[in-house]
Amino acid sequence: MDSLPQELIDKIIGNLPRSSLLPCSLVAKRWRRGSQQRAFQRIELFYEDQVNRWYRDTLQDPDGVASYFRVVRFKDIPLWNDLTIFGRVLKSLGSLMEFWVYRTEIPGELPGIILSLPNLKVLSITAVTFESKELLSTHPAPPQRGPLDLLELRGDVGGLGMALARSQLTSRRLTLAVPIQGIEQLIMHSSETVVELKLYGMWLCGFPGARSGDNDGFSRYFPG
Amino acid sequence: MGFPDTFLDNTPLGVIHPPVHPLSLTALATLNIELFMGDPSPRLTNILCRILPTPTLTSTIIEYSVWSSVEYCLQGRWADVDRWLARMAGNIRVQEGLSATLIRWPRGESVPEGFLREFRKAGGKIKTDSARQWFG
Repeated sequence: MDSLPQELIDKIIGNLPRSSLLPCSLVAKRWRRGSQQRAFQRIELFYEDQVNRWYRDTLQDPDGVASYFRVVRFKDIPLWNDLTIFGRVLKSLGSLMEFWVYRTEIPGELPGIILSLPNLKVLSITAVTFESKELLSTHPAPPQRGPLDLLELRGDVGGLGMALARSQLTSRRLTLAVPIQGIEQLIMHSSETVVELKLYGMWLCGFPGARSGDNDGFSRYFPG
Repeated sequence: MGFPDTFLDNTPLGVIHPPVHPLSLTALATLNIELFMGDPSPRLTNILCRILPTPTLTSTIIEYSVWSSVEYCLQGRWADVDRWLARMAGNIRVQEGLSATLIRWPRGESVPEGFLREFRKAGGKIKTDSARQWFG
């Protein structure tokens, strides 16, 4: 085992099923990093207890496992007991590339935190609730921030559309529900970058395009 | 600054030139409109009206749940969408032109001649896609 070159170990890890990654990370020290990097690349958070556990166990060390997270999805946490945990989790994810939120309460500081994530490429927010719409922060995007690959706002996102519009965030792909406040400004800011524009002409039942057998539209909008 | 949601004088969308607060999307290649039921909303047609002709645009995709009532679609705001599509098709510089793909189109049915008539006159091509259906 010790004589195996690291490149070969990485190749093996790259071909393992996801369910084997955590056991694999316990094989030997040289197997740990690559296994954990793949295992923790994507996480989905459905309950506040789960978020608390993740934060306590992994996220407080920004150079540890937290640095492996690339894709994070929050789903169906419409009311937090302690909303501050949301912001603390996000702030600890400096390597985050995709951030998805679906039917979850968001803090007013969210726009500012989003803009401070330097590697973020995909931002998708659907039908969120707010601690207070008035508290939504407005920050200009840092000048060095390039366009996102995808900015997606669907359902009732309250003043978040306008807050992001004021930040002058740009994107190559825009997916926007037409009733969103600030939609024209969001499009205008991306006028030189947007290659694909998707508009939902109307809005029913809190989420777009729900189909028979797809009760919450989740599988459609959170593919993979 | 917010844009108004309605036209100032109730003039039909296609008659307004130039659009107020135009949106010049210089790199736009694909525009996708998804409607669940009902007409395109005034706000949607208002936004479309503001998008200036974009030479790079090659594809529009219109996803709708009730194409079966297409006779009804020949009027009203669909006519506004038609006029906007025609304006875009007339300003395309790419050789393949502008195509509009109608998603969830009823299987085995052809598109009535009157639907998106102006768009077709301007050289736009209509395609249908019946692969995905809401029911059955």
